[in-house]
Parts: sequence; structure tokens; C-alpha cells
Amino acid sequence: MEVDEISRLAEKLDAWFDGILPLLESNDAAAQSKALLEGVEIAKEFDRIKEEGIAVLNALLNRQDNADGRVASLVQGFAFGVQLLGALYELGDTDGGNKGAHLVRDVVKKLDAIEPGGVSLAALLDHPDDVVRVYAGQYLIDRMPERVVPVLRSIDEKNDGRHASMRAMTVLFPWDWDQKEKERGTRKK
Amino acid sequence: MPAGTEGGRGGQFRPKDGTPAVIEEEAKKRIVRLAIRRTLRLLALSLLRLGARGAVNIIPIVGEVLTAIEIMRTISELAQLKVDADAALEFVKKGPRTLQELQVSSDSAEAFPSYDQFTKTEWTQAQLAKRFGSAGDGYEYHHIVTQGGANASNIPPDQLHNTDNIIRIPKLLHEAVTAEYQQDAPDGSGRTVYEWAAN
Repeated sequence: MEVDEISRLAEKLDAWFDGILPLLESNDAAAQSKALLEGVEIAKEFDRIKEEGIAVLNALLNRQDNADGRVASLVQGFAFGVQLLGALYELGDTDGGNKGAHLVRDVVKKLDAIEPGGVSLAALLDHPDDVVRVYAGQYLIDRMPERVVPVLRSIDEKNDGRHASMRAMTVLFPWDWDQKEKERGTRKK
Repeated sequence: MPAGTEGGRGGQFRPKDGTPAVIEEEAKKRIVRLAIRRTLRLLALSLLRLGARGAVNIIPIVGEVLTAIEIMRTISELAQLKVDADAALEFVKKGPRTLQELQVSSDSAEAFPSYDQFTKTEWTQAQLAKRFGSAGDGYEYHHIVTQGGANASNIPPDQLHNTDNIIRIPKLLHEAVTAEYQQDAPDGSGRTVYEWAAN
């Protein structure tokens, strides 16, 4: 199962939405019903992809590997999990996204237990997907701010209303606030 | 968020550059994305109702069946969604507003004894419409400082249940704001963004 499936589904939903808009003002009940059923099929597909995604994540969490293989599979699980939750949030499925976020937190706990410091997650700061870089940054900002802050800043500046840029803003806001507080404290001394 | 706020966050949802046409196109894309979110929820609800439907008045189409009532109900909800999307688009096209422009009453603040009296009951909606007019098609009343949780005990009721704290915004934007606050917080605690931001 690939997270791209959700993006493809979102595109299908976009096209469906464009198609049904003109029908809403018509009195063509047959065409409306047909379009509606096509939409219901998309909703079914969405549920299936979500359930499969959560199942894949659970399987990755419970896999028994040797130590090296374990770190690699957990990092892979992290990237997959945040792409899944990002796609779910993007489609307005907050409960589904939160379920994904819960599993991602479990991945991070397991990684921390094997390898405190999050060194392996740092590799994801170069991932091509914004949402993966943002969530890696979210977990690493206190540990390696000099690397994380520029990554988050560049995504925040996209300002495109997508989940990744909104999340970058949410992570950076308290960070910037803390830095200002520290500066004020230093000046007082 | 009003323009000119600390940290340059003002106009967060407005593209920083581009002609009015580019800005309008970008705004449209974002509104459609919000509308699509609700569409998926509507379809999911249809799916649930499809599973729970009775065996009366069934229309067979493309190998599936829906009741006529079900179809009418969902089409009507989708038509309302179009109204909401148009309202949100018109709102965004006009650019950032000041807080005063969004507040339900900019002349003088009016305190209400309870949240329920303000929005929850039919009686209050009628009263609201009488005092301020209806929120408008595609619009909802939104509390800037939320009424529940710690706010209920930490903030004096006359400040919390006050028209200064109530703004009128498009439903789709209201839903988007609420959804953002219900997401998992960035601190790994398992709280929502709302719970995290409140502490």
C-alpha cells in the first residue's frame, strides 16, 4: 500500500466535485443519482485506503527485526505514517489523522528506546515530501535546532495553506517565542 | 489573523505576491479544497445511511441502490455546500479584515449570561437574528476565545459571553479553524492543538 493512493484519490474527488457542481442546479435526478453513487464509491475507497494504511503502520510497529533492521523499519514507518496522517488531515479526516499521529508517536518512542537522540530521524530532514521533513523537524527541533529551523522556515514560507506549511508554522511559533524570551532574559542580565 | 501582527503573520491566508487575478485564483483553489473536505464527509455519511437504509423506495443505478429520499437529502446538502463555498470565496476575495469588521457588534459590547443563551437554543438564535440579523447564508458565528474548558473558570463570564468575543465568518473557514485546533499537538503529548495552545 502506498500513500500516493490517497493523493490519487484526492484528485479523483476533485474531478468528481467539478463534475457534480453543474448537476446541482439541474433537475436531472438520474444524472444526480449516478454522480452521487460515483462519489459514494470514492468514499468507500477512501475508507479502504485509510484502514490499510493504519494496518501497515501497525504491522511495522510490531515487526521483529535485528537492531539495525529495526531502526530502518521504524524510520520507514515514521515516513509512511506522517504521509498518511498528512493526507488524512488534508482531506479533513481529523480523527483518522489523529489516529495516525498516535501511531507515529509510538514509532518515535520505540526509536528513542533503541537510539536516543533521534539520529536516524535526522536523515528525513532531506526527504522530498514536505510533510515528512516537517514532522521529523517537529521531533528534532530541540535536539538539533540549527538544522531543523531552516528546514521548517522554508516550508512555512510556502504559505500555501497545506498541512505541512500550517504545521511548520505551529512548530516554529513557540520556538520563535522561546528564543525572544531568552533574548529578553539575556538583555536584562 | 489581522494584517500587521507581530512576526509578520498577518494575512496568513493571502498570497504574498501576485496580481489580483493570481490571488483570486489561489483563494479559489483553497476554498475548493475546504469544500472537498466537507464533500468527503457528506459522502461518508451517505455511505453510512446507505448501509442502514430500509428497503422502501429504492432506486437501482449502476449496480448500487440508494433511496430517493437519501439522494434528495445528499444533493440538497451538496447544494448548500456550494452556497457555503461561494460565500467563503467572496469573503476571501475581499482580503483581510480588521477585528472590528468581523465582530457582530462593533458599536458597543453586549454581555450574555451564558453560552447557551448566545448560540445553542432556538430561542437564542431567534434573539440573535433580532439583534444582529442572521449570520447569513454560508456564514456562522464563531467564538474567538472558546467558552469551555479552563476558560469557563478563568475568564469572567461577562467577558467570555460578550459580543466582542463573537465574530461572523464563512462556515467553511470556521470548519477549517476548528479542524486545525482538533489535530494532534506538535509536542508529542497526545493532546490536541487546542489543549496544547491553552497551556
